[in-house]
Amino acid sequence: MPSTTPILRRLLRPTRPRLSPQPRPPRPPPSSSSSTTTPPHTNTPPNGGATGTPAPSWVGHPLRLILTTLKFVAFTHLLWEYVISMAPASGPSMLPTFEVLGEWLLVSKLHRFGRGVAVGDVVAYNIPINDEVGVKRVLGLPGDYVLMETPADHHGADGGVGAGAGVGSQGGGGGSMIQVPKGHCWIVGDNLVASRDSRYFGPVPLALIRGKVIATVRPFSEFRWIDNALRKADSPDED
Amino acid sequence: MAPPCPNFPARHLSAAAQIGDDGKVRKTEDGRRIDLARDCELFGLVQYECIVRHPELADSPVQCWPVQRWFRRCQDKKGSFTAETTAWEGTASAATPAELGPSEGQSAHILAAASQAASAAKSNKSA
Repeated sequence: MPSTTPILRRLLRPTRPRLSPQPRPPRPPPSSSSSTTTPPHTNTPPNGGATGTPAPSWVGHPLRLILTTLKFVAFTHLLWEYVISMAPASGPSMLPTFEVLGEWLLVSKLHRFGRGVAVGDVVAYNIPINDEVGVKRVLGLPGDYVLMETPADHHGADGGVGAGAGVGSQGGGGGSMIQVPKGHCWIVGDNLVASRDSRYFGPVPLALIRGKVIATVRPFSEFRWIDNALRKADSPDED
Repeated sequence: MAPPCPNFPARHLSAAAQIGDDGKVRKTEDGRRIDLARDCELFGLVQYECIVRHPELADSPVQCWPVQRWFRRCQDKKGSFTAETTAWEGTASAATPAELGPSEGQSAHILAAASQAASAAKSNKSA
Protein backbone atom coordinates (compact mmCIF):
# COMPACT_ATOMS: atom_id res chain seq x y z
CA MET A 1 0.00 0.00 0.00
CA PRO A 2 1.48 3.36 -0.97
CA SER A 3 2.33 5.75 1.81
CA THR A 4 -0.13 8.57 2.26
CA THR A 5 2.55 11.07 3.26
CA PRO A 6 3.43 12.24 -0.28
CA ILE A 7 -0.28 12.65 -1.05
CA LEU A 8 -0.84 14.66 2.11
CA ARG A 9 2.24 16.73 1.40
CA ARG A 10 0.94 17.45 -2.09
CA LEU A 11 -2.46 18.44 -0.72
CA LEU A 12 -1.01 20.66 1.97
CA ARG A 13 1.45 22.37 -0.36
CA PRO A 14 0.49 26.03 -0.76
CA THR A 15 -0.85 26.58 -4.19
CA ARG A 16 0.76 29.26 -6.24
CA PRO A 17 -1.54 31.70 -7.89
CA ARG A 18 -1.85 30.93 -11.54
CA LEU A 19 -0.28 33.70 -13.46
CA SER A 20 -2.00 34.85 -16.55
CA PRO A 21 0.32 35.25 -19.49
CA GLN A 22 1.46 38.75 -20.09
CA PRO A 23 -0.11 40.16 -23.21
CA ARG A 24 2.51 40.43 -25.76
CA PRO A 25 2.97 43.75 -27.42
CA PRO A 26 1.46 43.62 -30.84
CA ARG A 27 3.84 43.22 -33.57
CA PRO A 28 4.18 46.14 -35.81
CA PRO A 29 2.60 45.42 -39.13
CA PRO A 30 5.09 44.66 -41.73
CA SER A 31 5.68 47.70 -43.70
CA SER A 32 8.10 48.53 -46.29
CA SER A 33 8.79 51.97 -45.07
CA SER A 34 10.58 52.29 -41.81
CA SER A 35 9.40 55.83 -41.39
CA THR A 36 5.95 54.93 -39.95
CA THR A 37 6.43 54.54 -36.26
CA THR A 38 4.17 52.70 -33.89
CA PRO A 39 4.47 52.93 -30.12
CA PRO A 40 6.36 49.96 -28.74
CA HIS A 41 3.69 49.16 -26.09
CA THR A 42 -0.02 49.63 -26.58
CA ASN A 43 -2.77 48.74 -24.02
CA THR A 44 -4.82 46.65 -26.36
CA PRO A 45 -6.71 44.02 -24.32
CA PRO A 46 -6.12 40.41 -25.23
CA ASN A 47 -9.74 39.78 -26.15
CA GLY A 48 -9.48 41.50 -29.40
CA GLY A 49 -9.86 45.08 -28.41
CA ALA A 50 -13.23 45.01 -26.59
CA THR A 51 -13.33 47.55 -23.75
CA GLY A 52 -14.49 46.83 -20.13
CA THR A 53 -14.16 43.74 -17.95
CA PRO A 54 -14.53 40.34 -19.50
CA ALA A 55 -17.95 38.69 -19.07
CA PRO A 56 -18.22 36.11 -16.22
CA SER A 57 -17.88 32.52 -17.25
CA TRP A 58 -21.46 31.53 -16.32
CA VAL A 59 -23.09 33.69 -18.95
CA GLY A 60 -20.97 32.32 -21.71
CA HIS A 61 -23.38 29.69 -22.94
CA PRO A 62 -27.20 29.47 -22.66
CA LEU A 63 -26.98 25.97 -21.23
CA ARG A 64 -24.58 27.13 -18.56
CA LEU A 65 -26.90 30.01 -17.70
CA ILE A 66 -29.86 27.62 -17.30
CA LEU A 67 -27.77 25.30 -15.14
CA THR A 68 -26.67 28.18 -12.91
CA THR A 69 -30.27 29.37 -12.53
CA LEU A 70 -31.40 25.85 -11.60
CA LYS A 71 -28.62 25.60 -9.02
CA PHE A 72 -29.65 28.94 -7.53
CA VAL A 73 -33.33 27.88 -7.34
CA ALA A 74 -32.40 24.55 -5.73
CA PHE A 75 -30.14 26.24 -3.19
CA THR A 76 -32.80 28.82 -2.31
CA HIS A 77 -35.39 26.06 -1.92
CA LEU A 78 -33.03 24.14 0.36
CA LEU A 79 -32.40 27.23 2.47
CA TRP A 80 -36.09 28.16 2.63
CA GLU A 81 -37.33 24.67 3.42
CA TYR A 82 -34.66 23.45 5.83
CA VAL A 83 -32.83 26.43 7.33
CA ILE A 84 -34.82 29.65 7.52
CA SER A 85 -37.93 31.18 6.02
CA MET A 86 -39.98 34.32 6.37
CA ALA A 87 -43.74 34.75 6.10
CA PRO A 88 -46.36 37.38 6.91
CA ALA A 89 -48.59 36.82 9.93
CA SER A 90 -51.93 38.33 10.83
CA GLY A 91 -54.56 37.84 13.48
CA PRO A 92 -55.20 38.74 17.12
CA SER A 93 -54.29 35.37 18.70
CA MET A 94 -50.71 36.34 19.55
CA LEU A 95 -51.36 39.87 20.83
CA PRO A 96 -49.43 41.66 22.24
CA THR A 97 -46.36 39.69 21.15
CA PHE A 98 -47.30 40.22 17.48
CA GLU A 99 -49.50 42.96 16.04
CA VAL A 100 -52.76 42.06 14.32
CA LEU A 101 -51.41 43.12 10.91
CA GLY A 102 -48.11 43.83 9.20
CA GLU A 103 -45.81 41.39 10.98
CA TRP A 104 -43.30 39.29 9.07
CA LEU A 105 -41.93 36.36 11.02
CA LEU A 106 -38.51 34.80 10.66
CA VAL A 107 -38.88 31.05 11.20
CA SER A 108 -36.00 28.70 11.96
CA LYS A 109 -36.63 25.49 10.05
CA LEU A 110 -33.86 23.79 12.02
CA HIS A 111 -36.54 23.39 14.72
CA ARG A 112 -39.09 21.72 12.43
CA PHE A 113 -40.91 18.70 13.90
CA GLY A 114 -40.29 20.26 17.31
CA ARG A 115 -36.53 19.63 17.34
CA GLY A 116 -34.91 21.62 20.13
CA VAL A 117 -38.15 23.42 20.98
CA ALA A 118 -38.66 24.25 24.68
CA VAL A 119 -41.63 25.31 26.78
CA GLY A 120 -42.06 29.06 26.24
CA ASP A 121 -40.92 29.11 22.60
CA VAL A 122 -43.14 30.42 19.80
CA VAL A 123 -43.65 28.00 16.92
CA ALA A 124 -45.25 27.99 13.49
CA TYR A 125 -47.34 24.88 12.90
CA ASN A 126 -49.85 23.35 10.51
CA ILE A 127 -53.26 23.79 12.12
CA PRO A 128 -54.64 20.24 12.45
CA ILE A 129 -58.23 21.21 11.64
CA ASN A 130 -57.62 23.12 8.41
CA ASP A 131 -54.89 23.74 5.85
CA GLU A 132 -53.59 26.96 7.36
CA VAL A 133 -50.40 27.73 9.24
CA GLY A 134 -50.68 29.13 12.75
CA VAL A 135 -48.30 30.65 15.29
CA LYS A 136 -48.60 29.81 19.00
CA ARG A 137 -46.55 29.46 22.16
CA VAL A 138 -45.52 26.00 23.40
CA LEU A 139 -46.66 25.31 26.98
CA GLY A 140 -46.07 21.58 27.12
CA LEU A 141 -43.88 18.92 25.52
CA PRO A 142 -44.22 15.12 25.65
CA GLY A 143 -44.57 13.99 29.26
CA ASP A 144 -45.27 17.49 30.62
CA TYR A 145 -48.40 18.42 32.60
CA VAL A 146 -50.58 21.29 31.41
CA LEU A 147 -53.76 23.03 32.37
CA MET A 148 -56.44 22.22 29.81
CA GLU A 149 -58.42 25.42 30.27
CA THR A 150 -57.70 29.12 30.47
CA PRO A 151 -56.48 30.23 33.89
CA ALA A 152 -59.35 31.92 35.74
CA ASP A 153 -60.87 34.97 34.10
CA HIS A 154 -59.62 37.90 36.08
CA HIS A 155 -60.78 41.15 34.54
CA GLY A 156 -64.25 42.47 35.09
CA ALA A 157 -66.94 42.94 32.51
CA ASP A 158 -66.19 46.68 32.56
CA GLY A 159 -62.66 45.96 31.39
CA GLY A 160 -61.02 46.80 34.68
CA VAL A 161 -58.11 44.77 35.94
CA GLY A 162 -59.11 42.38 38.63
CA ALA A 163 -57.25 40.26 41.13
CA GLY A 164 -54.98 38.59 38.59
CA ALA A 165 -54.59 34.91 37.85
CA GLY A 166 -52.33 34.31 40.73
CA VAL A 167 -51.78 31.50 43.11
CA GLY A 168 -54.36 28.74 43.02
CA SER A 169 -56.59 30.91 40.87
CA GLN A 170 -58.26 27.97 39.15
CA GLY A 171 -60.89 27.49 41.81
CA GLY A 172 -58.66 26.12 44.54
CA GLY A 173 -56.77 23.69 42.35
CA GLY A 174 -59.87 22.50 40.55
CA GLY A 175 -58.75 23.06 36.95
CA SER A 176 -58.42 20.03 34.69
CA MET A 177 -54.97 18.95 33.62
CA ILE A 178 -53.51 16.36 31.28
CA GLN A 179 -50.15 14.85 30.61
CA VAL A 180 -49.03 15.66 27.07
CA PRO A 181 -48.77 12.34 25.20
CA LYS A 182 -45.64 11.12 23.44
CA GLY A 183 -44.86 12.85 20.17
CA HIS A 184 -47.18 15.77 20.91
CA CYS A 185 -47.04 19.26 22.33
CA TRP A 186 -49.49 21.69 23.92
CA ILE A 187 -49.70 25.11 22.31
CA VAL A 188 -51.62 28.19 23.42
CA GLY A 189 -51.84 31.68 21.90
CA ASP A 190 -50.59 34.63 23.95
CA ASN A 191 -53.97 36.35 23.68
CA LEU A 192 -56.03 33.82 25.60
CA VAL A 193 -59.42 35.26 24.64
CA ALA A 194 -58.86 35.27 20.88
CA SER A 195 -56.88 32.13 20.24
CA ARG A 196 -57.94 28.78 18.90
CA ASP A 197 -55.30 26.37 20.12
CA SER A 198 -54.76 23.16 22.10
CA ARG A 199 -57.57 24.18 24.47
CA TYR A 200 -59.80 23.70 21.42
CA PHE A 201 -58.22 20.86 19.40
CA GLY A 202 -56.05 19.13 22.01
CA PRO A 203 -52.38 18.16 21.84
CA VAL A 204 -50.71 18.83 18.49
CA PRO A 205 -48.40 16.25 16.88
CA LEU A 206 -44.80 17.46 16.82
CA ALA A 207 -44.73 16.47 13.15
CA LEU A 208 -46.95 19.50 12.46
CA ILE A 209 -44.39 21.95 13.84
CA ARG A 210 -42.92 23.84 10.87
CA GLY A 211 -40.29 25.74 12.83
CA LYS A 212 -39.53 28.10 15.68
CA VAL A 213 -40.25 31.80 15.34
CA ILE A 214 -36.97 33.55 16.10
CA ALA A 215 -37.65 37.15 15.09
CA THR A 216 -40.27 39.53 13.83
CA VAL A 217 -39.63 41.99 11.07
CA ARG A 218 -41.73 45.00 10.17
CA PRO A 219 -40.37 45.96 6.77
CA PHE A 220 -38.19 49.08 6.91
CA SER A 221 -39.06 49.85 10.52
CA GLU A 222 -38.40 47.14 13.08
CA PHE A 223 -36.46 43.96 13.74
CA ARG A 224 -37.00 42.21 17.06
CA TRP A 225 -35.77 38.87 18.35
CA ILE A 226 -38.43 36.60 19.88
CA ASP A 227 -37.02 34.92 22.95
CA ASN A 228 -38.34 32.25 25.27
CA ALA A 229 -40.95 33.76 27.60
CA LEU A 230 -40.37 31.37 30.49
CA ARG A 231 -38.62 33.22 33.33
CA LYS A 232 -37.12 31.87 36.50
CA ALA A 233 -39.06 32.97 39.58
CA ASP A 234 -38.36 32.83 43.30
CA SER A 235 -41.83 32.43 44.67
CA PRO A 236 -45.35 32.41 43.25
CA ASP A 237 -46.33 34.97 45.86
CA GLU A 238 -43.85 37.57 44.64
CA ASP A 239 -46.36 39.54 42.60
CA MET B 1 -54.89 12.70 16.05
CA ALA B 2 -53.78 12.61 19.60
CA PRO B 3 -54.35 9.37 21.52
CA PRO B 4 -56.96 9.46 24.29
CA CYS B 5 -55.34 10.82 27.43
CA PRO B 6 -57.04 10.91 30.82
CA ASN B 7 -57.43 14.25 32.54
CA PHE B 8 -57.20 14.86 36.27
CA PRO B 9 -57.96 17.74 38.63
CA ALA B 10 -55.08 20.10 39.30
CA ARG B 11 -55.11 19.26 43.01
CA HIS B 12 -53.90 15.76 42.08
CA LEU B 13 -50.88 17.11 40.21
CA SER B 14 -48.42 15.99 42.91
CA ALA B 15 -49.53 12.40 42.41
CA ALA B 16 -49.85 12.53 38.63
CA ALA B 17 -46.33 13.94 38.32
CA GLN B 18 -44.98 10.68 39.75
CA ILE B 19 -45.75 8.82 36.51
CA GLY B 20 -43.80 9.40 33.28
CA ASP B 21 -45.28 9.25 29.80
CA ASP B 22 -44.05 5.65 29.56
CA GLY B 23 -46.26 4.69 32.52
CA LYS B 24 -43.29 4.13 34.85
CA VAL B 25 -42.79 5.78 38.23
CA ARG B 26 -40.48 8.80 38.11
CA LYS B 27 -37.62 8.93 40.55
CA THR B 28 -34.91 11.45 41.33
CA GLU B 29 -31.22 10.61 40.97
CA ASP B 30 -31.11 9.50 44.60
CA GLY B 31 -34.15 7.28 44.20
CA ARG B 32 -36.77 9.48 45.87
CA ARG B 33 -40.23 10.36 44.55
CA ILE B 34 -40.64 13.74 42.86
CA ASP B 35 -41.76 16.51 45.19
CA LEU B 36 -42.87 19.42 43.00
CA ALA B 37 -42.35 22.03 45.70
CA ARG B 38 -38.99 20.75 46.91
CA ASP B 39 -37.27 19.29 43.84
CA CYS B 40 -38.54 21.47 41.02
CA GLU B 41 -37.49 24.95 40.00
CA LEU B 42 -40.24 27.55 39.66
CA PHE B 43 -40.74 29.44 36.41
CA GLY B 44 -43.26 32.09 35.41
CA LEU B 45 -44.75 32.93 32.03
CA VAL B 46 -47.06 35.83 31.29
CA GLN B 47 -49.85 35.57 28.74
CA TYR B 48 -52.59 38.11 28.15
CA GLU B 49 -56.23 38.78 27.60
CA CYS B 50 -56.37 41.48 24.94
CA ILE B 51 -59.25 43.37 23.44
CA VAL B 52 -59.03 45.26 20.16
CA ARG B 53 -61.22 48.29 20.90
CA HIS B 54 -62.15 49.09 17.30
CA PRO B 55 -61.47 46.08 15.09
CA GLU B 56 -62.65 47.98 12.03
CA LEU B 57 -59.72 50.41 12.36
CA ALA B 58 -56.21 49.44 11.24
CA ASP B 59 -54.57 51.31 14.13
CA SER B 60 -57.14 50.52 16.79
CA PRO B 61 -56.00 50.73 20.41
CA VAL B 62 -55.46 47.36 22.06
CA GLN B 63 -56.00 46.81 25.76
CA CYS B 64 -54.33 43.84 27.47
CA TRP B 65 -54.47 42.31 30.94
CA PRO B 66 -51.69 39.97 32.06
CA VAL B 67 -52.40 36.39 33.03
CA GLN B 68 -49.61 34.90 35.10
CA ARG B 69 -48.91 31.20 34.62
CA TRP B 70 -46.56 29.13 36.76
CA PHE B 71 -44.46 26.13 35.83
CA ARG B 72 -42.14 23.79 37.69
CA ARG B 73 -39.22 22.19 35.92
CA CYS B 74 -38.23 18.92 37.52
CA GLN B 75 -35.37 16.54 37.00
CA ASP B 76 -35.78 12.80 37.19
CA LYS B 77 -33.46 9.97 36.25
CA LYS B 78 -34.47 10.12 32.60
CA GLY B 79 -34.22 13.87 32.13
CA SER B 80 -36.33 16.92 32.83
CA PHE B 81 -40.04 17.57 32.52
CA THR B 82 -42.30 20.56 33.13
CA ALA B 83 -45.54 20.76 35.06
CA GLU B 84 -47.84 23.74 34.89
CA THR B 85 -48.65 24.64 38.48
CA THR B 86 -50.83 27.72 37.92
CA ALA B 87 -53.83 26.05 39.50
CA TRP B 88 -51.78 24.09 42.00
CA GLU B 89 -49.45 26.64 43.64
CA GLY B 90 -50.69 27.72 47.03
CA THR B 91 -53.32 25.00 47.34
CA ALA B 92 -53.45 22.53 50.20
CA SER B 93 -52.23 19.74 47.92
CA ALA B 94 -49.10 21.77 47.13
CA ALA B 95 -48.17 21.56 50.82
CA THR B 96 -48.63 17.77 50.93
CA PRO B 97 -45.33 15.89 50.95
CA ALA B 98 -44.81 13.96 47.74
CA GLU B 99 -43.95 10.72 49.56
CA LEU B 100 -47.60 10.42 50.57
CA GLY B 101 -48.94 11.27 47.15
CA PRO B 102 -48.80 8.20 44.93
CA SER B 103 -49.76 5.57 47.44
CA GLU B 104 -52.60 7.08 49.38
CA GLY B 105 -56.19 8.17 49.13
CA GLN B 106 -57.63 9.76 46.03
CA SER B 107 -54.30 9.87 44.23
CA ALA B 108 -54.16 6.11 43.90
CA HIS B 109 -56.74 5.99 41.13
CA ILE B 110 -54.65 8.35 39.00
CA LEU B 111 -51.69 6.03 39.20
CA ALA B 112 -53.92 3.09 38.40
CA ALA B 113 -55.38 4.90 35.38
CA ALA B 114 -51.90 5.82 34.15
CA SER B 115 -50.64 2.27 34.53
CA GLN B 116 -53.70 0.92 32.70
CA ALA B 117 -53.19 3.41 29.87
CA ALA B 118 -49.52 2.38 29.60
CA SER B 119 -50.33 -1.33 29.56
CA ALA B 120 -53.11 -0.76 27.01
CA ALA B 121 -50.64 1.09 24.79
CA LYS B 122 -48.17 -1.78 25.12
CA SER B 123 -50.80 -4.41 24.24
CA ASN B 124 -51.88 -2.33 21.23
CA LYS B 125 -48.28 -2.20 20.06
CA SER B 126 -47.81 -5.93 20.39
CA ALA B 127 -51.10 -6.56 18.54
